[in-house]
Amino acid sequence: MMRHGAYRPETLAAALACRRDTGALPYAGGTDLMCRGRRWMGVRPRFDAPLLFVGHLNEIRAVHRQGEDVVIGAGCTLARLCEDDTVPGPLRRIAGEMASPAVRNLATIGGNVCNASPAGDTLPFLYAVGARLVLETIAGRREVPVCEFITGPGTTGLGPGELLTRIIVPAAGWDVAVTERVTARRANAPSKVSFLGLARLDGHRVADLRIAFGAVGPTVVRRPGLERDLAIALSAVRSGRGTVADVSALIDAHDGMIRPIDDQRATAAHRRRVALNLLRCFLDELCR
Amino acid sequence: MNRSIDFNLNGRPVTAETDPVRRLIDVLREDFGLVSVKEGCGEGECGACSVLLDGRLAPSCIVAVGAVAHRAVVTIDGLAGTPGFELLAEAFTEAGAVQCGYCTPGMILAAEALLRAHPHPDEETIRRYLAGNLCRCTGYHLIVRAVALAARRGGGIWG
Repeated sequence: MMRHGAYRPETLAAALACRRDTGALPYAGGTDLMCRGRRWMGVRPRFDAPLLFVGHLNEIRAVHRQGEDVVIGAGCTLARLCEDDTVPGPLRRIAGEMASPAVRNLATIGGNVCNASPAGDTLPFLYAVGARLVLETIAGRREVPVCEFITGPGTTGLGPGELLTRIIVPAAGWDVAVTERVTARRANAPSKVSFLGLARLDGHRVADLRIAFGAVGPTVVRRPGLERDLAIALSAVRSGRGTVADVSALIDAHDGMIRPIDDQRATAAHRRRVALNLLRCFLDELCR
Repeated sequence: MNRSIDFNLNGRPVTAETDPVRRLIDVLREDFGLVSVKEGCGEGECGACSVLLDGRLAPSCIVAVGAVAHRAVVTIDGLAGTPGFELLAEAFTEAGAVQCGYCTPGMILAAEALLRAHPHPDEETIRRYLAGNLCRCTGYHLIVRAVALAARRGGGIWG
């Protein structure tokens, strides 16, 4: 079998040219890639393609505010993500709970997106706020919503020659933000279930509600229609015109959206119950 | 990428003449003889292979050596002799925080990284910061106590 080497371009343009010419595998933080290519102690890891080191490229590491948005470089590490106060609060909190301090110093948000793991911890937030991804080739760029980019467990629409360079999220804050991940150990344990709930309030009215679940399906579960219905029902409860039973009925009518699997981390039944309990907890808080 | 990888190792500029896809841990142990860097899980979960990369804690088993080009790597060998190391070593000894010793280099580096960021950590902060380092002798309380002791005696040498 051929031993593939590695490339370390000095600029983004050179990296894009390299990606087009060689089909090399982007290596940003490497934390997931190196586990996948791992063999034995002292033995060189093995990959199906050459590696393309991109983690050192300053062009894709910065975070900045742009109008109503925050533009996050795909090469921004989780550690920098949680230290940067330009980054929306819930995302900072999520990044600060992922993996371990050491892994957070390497792992990048772009890697978390491109790995497209069902348990990818930044994904529920990115889905919930409708994050857009900037995908670049040497010839140009396109912008895709994250929910269209990720096509299944570990699969994405990343084209040949393309690199994910930026992740664009709205800068606006949330009045209520609940981020939960259920794991067996505090550090370095993939989520059994993750939950994200965001709300913007306007007096009694729930003006904007976002709900997303991770690790309970092939990709993040989000139902914008249900979010709208729940916002209306919650607004009614909060202004004394509706009952908590209406909210519960909506959850019961949609609980089929949570269809997890059994695996070594948790049973499907456990995941489903915990996911729905986290949702109820979040909605209870909004009823008050 | 050519096979000459320049980086700074324990304060000295070095060149690794090797395949950039090899793991940093293997290059440190085999090419530079730094066997203080221990392999535990081999997948970034246990922290035994921790090094400081540009001053930040990193598991060297999931880093390709090509990715450290032009960066600074510090192993516990590079820390030895610094006032911070002396304090930590003394505190680990006094608190009985070393049992089999396999996790110790990683624990000391994690403690060093913690104290640089938080010179006066409370117990919760210590536990959070060491959460990625496993001790299979399960001597966690003693390790946490040792780090707290070093911090108390540090008198701000970490910042």
